[in-house]
Parts: sequence; C-alpha cells; structure tokens
Amino acid sequence: MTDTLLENLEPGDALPERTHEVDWEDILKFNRYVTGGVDTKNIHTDDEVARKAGLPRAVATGRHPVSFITELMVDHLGFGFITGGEIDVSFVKPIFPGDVLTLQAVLKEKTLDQGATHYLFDVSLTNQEGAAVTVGTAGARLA
Amino acid sequence: MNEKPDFVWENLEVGMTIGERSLTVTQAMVDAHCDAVGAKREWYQGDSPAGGAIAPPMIFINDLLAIYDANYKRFGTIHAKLGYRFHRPVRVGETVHQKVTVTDLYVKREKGWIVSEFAVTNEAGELLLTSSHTSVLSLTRRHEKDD
Repeated sequence: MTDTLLENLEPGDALPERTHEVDWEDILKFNRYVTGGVDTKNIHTDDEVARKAGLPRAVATGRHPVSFITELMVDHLGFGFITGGEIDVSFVKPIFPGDVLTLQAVLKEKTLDQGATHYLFDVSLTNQEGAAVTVGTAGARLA
Repeated sequence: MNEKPDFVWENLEVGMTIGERSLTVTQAMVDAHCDAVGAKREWYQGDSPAGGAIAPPMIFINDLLAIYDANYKRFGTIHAKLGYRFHRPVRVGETVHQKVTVTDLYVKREKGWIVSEFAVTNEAGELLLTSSHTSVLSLTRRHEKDD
C-alpha cells in the first residue's frame, strides 16, 4: 500500500508503469481456468476457430488483462477499491499471443466530496508496437 | 431434453433474464483464479480488512459467459467494453447469487451488439458488485439496420 504516493499525486501524474507478457501458456492457463481444467479449441486457443469467427488468428481474451488493472488499483487504492471501486474499459485492439503489455495509469481527477477523495485514473494497456489495446478509467472514492 | 437456443439476435430482447444461479465462493476457486490471472495478495489467502480471506475484484471474470453458455449455444461473441462497480468484498465461504439481464441490443456498423448486466448479491440480498458487458454477437453476420 502506497498511501504517500497516492496522497501526493495530482492530475496528470502517473503511477509507476508495469509490464505484463501474455504468452501462449498464459492464454492456455486462463482457458483451462474458465473451462474447469479442460483444454478446448476456441477463438482464444485455436487459429482456425478464430478465423471462422472473423478474426485474423487466435487472440487473448481482453477480460484477462483487466485483472492487471484492478490489481494495480488495489495496490494503490487499497480496500477502498474493493468496497467502492469502479472500472470502465474498452477493448480497442486484439491482444495476440506473445504481446507485451505496458500498463499505464494517469490520474485524471482528484476531487474532494464530503470528507472523501475520489481518485479517477485514465488507464491503458499498450502493446509492444505502441498501440493501445485496452483503454478506460478506474478509480475509487476513499473516505 | 430440450436443445438450448442459439445466442443470436432473434432469440434476445431487452429486459430479459439470460440466466441466474447461486454458488459458494471457495478458497479453491480463489486460488485457481489467482493462478490464472497472476494475482497475489495476502487478502486472497488469509486475513484481510474484511476479517478473513476475500476474492480478488475480478473473481467472476468468466461468470457472465458461463451463464450465457448454460442457457444458450454461443459462438464468436467478442467483448468490446467492460465496466464494474464494486460495492462489498466477496468473502471466501459465502454463497452468492448471480443474475444476467439484457439491458440493450443495437446494430452498429452492420453488426449486432448486446449489452448485458451481471449482478452479484449475497445471502442477505446486499449488492456485492455489478458489471456491464458490451459485446458484438458475431463478426461474421451482417445486420441490415445501421444506426
């Protein structure tokens, strides 16, 4: 928990960046998790199935990396994110196996309201080519 | 045994309940989730400010689709947007109720889109979290109407 870092942040300031690689093993592990331990062929695990669905090849689920963002929020906003947090993201480009994602969170708003502070961050995941794949906002109101 | 309907535009309407279910959140579920998404935190294994182990915020990351698939034959839906509001911690050992409803259906760029709400309550009826999921129903099917 980095209360001091949070308290000193002003709009425009960024949290320390993080990087996450999403490789084939991560994708297969996530697929096994959602299927209850079974390997299945779907748009996330099989190029042919992905092409039938209109995709160029297999893509990672966009939902999996949302956890990277929520865990970052819990690290900095603490229990307040669990009890009053919010996140809204759009999946703007596919995430392909092997992509290395950079997670950025820049404070967008810091507002005081009846003794509480509402922190809202612009959040993004950008791939190794510099293209944003997931963008949105996340934050919480901390009493 | 009745075959499940296809998860397509014609079988969906705004306001309908896609499905609902109750389940008990176990430590094994939390451990499996943490392993799958790489979440590591003492709160998820033991003590937390809630007084015991709690689940990570995204513990129900796949449950909307699981409820879709329990009630429909689905292929090729692609998530485009996701929103969550977290109200209370999800405690390990508690039984929760999940419900998925359709909040919007529209056509955009010749594709059919669905917006679903996923809501989770505890046994006392308290709201733990809500989430909104916007998905394209199919990338390969063309819809005539365009807005």
